[in-house]
Amino acid sequence: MEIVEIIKVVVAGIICWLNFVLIDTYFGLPEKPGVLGAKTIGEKIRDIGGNIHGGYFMGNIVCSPDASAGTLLASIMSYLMGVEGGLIAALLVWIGNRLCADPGYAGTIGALTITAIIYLLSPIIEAKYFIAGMVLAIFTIQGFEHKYASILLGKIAKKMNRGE
Amino acid sequence: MGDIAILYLTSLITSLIVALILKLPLIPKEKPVRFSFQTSIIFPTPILALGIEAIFRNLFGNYIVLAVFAGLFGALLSKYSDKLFGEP
Amino acid sequence: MDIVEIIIGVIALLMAIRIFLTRSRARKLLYLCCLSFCISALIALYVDSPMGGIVAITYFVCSTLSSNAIAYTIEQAKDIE
Repeated sequence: MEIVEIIKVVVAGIICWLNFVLIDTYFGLPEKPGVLGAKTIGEKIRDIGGNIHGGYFMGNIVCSPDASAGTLLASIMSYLMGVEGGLIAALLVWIGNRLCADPGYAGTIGALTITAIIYLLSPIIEAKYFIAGMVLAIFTIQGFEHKYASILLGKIAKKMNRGE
Repeated sequence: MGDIAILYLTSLITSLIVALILKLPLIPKEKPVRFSFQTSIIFPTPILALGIEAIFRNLFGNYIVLAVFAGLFGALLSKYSDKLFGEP
Repeated sequence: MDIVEIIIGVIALLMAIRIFLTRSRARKLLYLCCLSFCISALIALYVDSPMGGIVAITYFVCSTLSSNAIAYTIEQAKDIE
């Protein structure tokens, strides 16, 4: 039944979007560029009319595994190995964070929360829908309209006291 | 299911004990905590230990000795992360 | 092919086209990041084993490291100019 599957993907996508945006914003991704490269991307987004804090957020996603990477990799490993897979994903995301000179809070915690969510929702929405959902979620931020995505992220950052 | 939980609990508790012995702080001393690279007893240590135990359990089987080693390695990795990955 | 793989594949194709068409290097990096997500997901879905997951994670972390280096270098090049 394709339409039910598409609904599951969209619902999983919304959950993944909230998971990574809220956790990343909480851990300060919109506040400042974590590494030099994020600054370039943030400034380019500001130059096309977007919000600088949203731009820093999007730049930080590119330059280091953050909660979006954690959510994707943990949903992949949850699909393949269950809850233990989520734990392995959290470990590997932390190592990846340290390699990219990032303290590692956002990625690891994003991975753990989505593992818990997938485990709780597994009777209703199986893990593989979360994989497609996460790809859809990151597409709305990094692949769709950079200017409006950054403005939205900037608004959320302002609400959570992490930008301006 | 129960013995798997016991294995993970062992590695968790071992990592917390070893972290205490290695003198890791309870929470990072630098504020704001979200930008701090300092490892602490509550942040990476239990997560690393559980991840390493998941790898060990899937590679080698349900041995409690491996769970203790997983906790040990988790705490060590947490304590010496700066030396391993370079000062940020 | 499953609906999940179709969705991811379509997004990957879209990203590849957008990378080709954009002129700004910084925006190319953003589309590239999304493409890496898609490829990583497809690796895991098609290999369908724990090792496939490890391969997907390794690929993703390495691609992030590369993007990190590229973005850093673009910034350095700007400073030199």
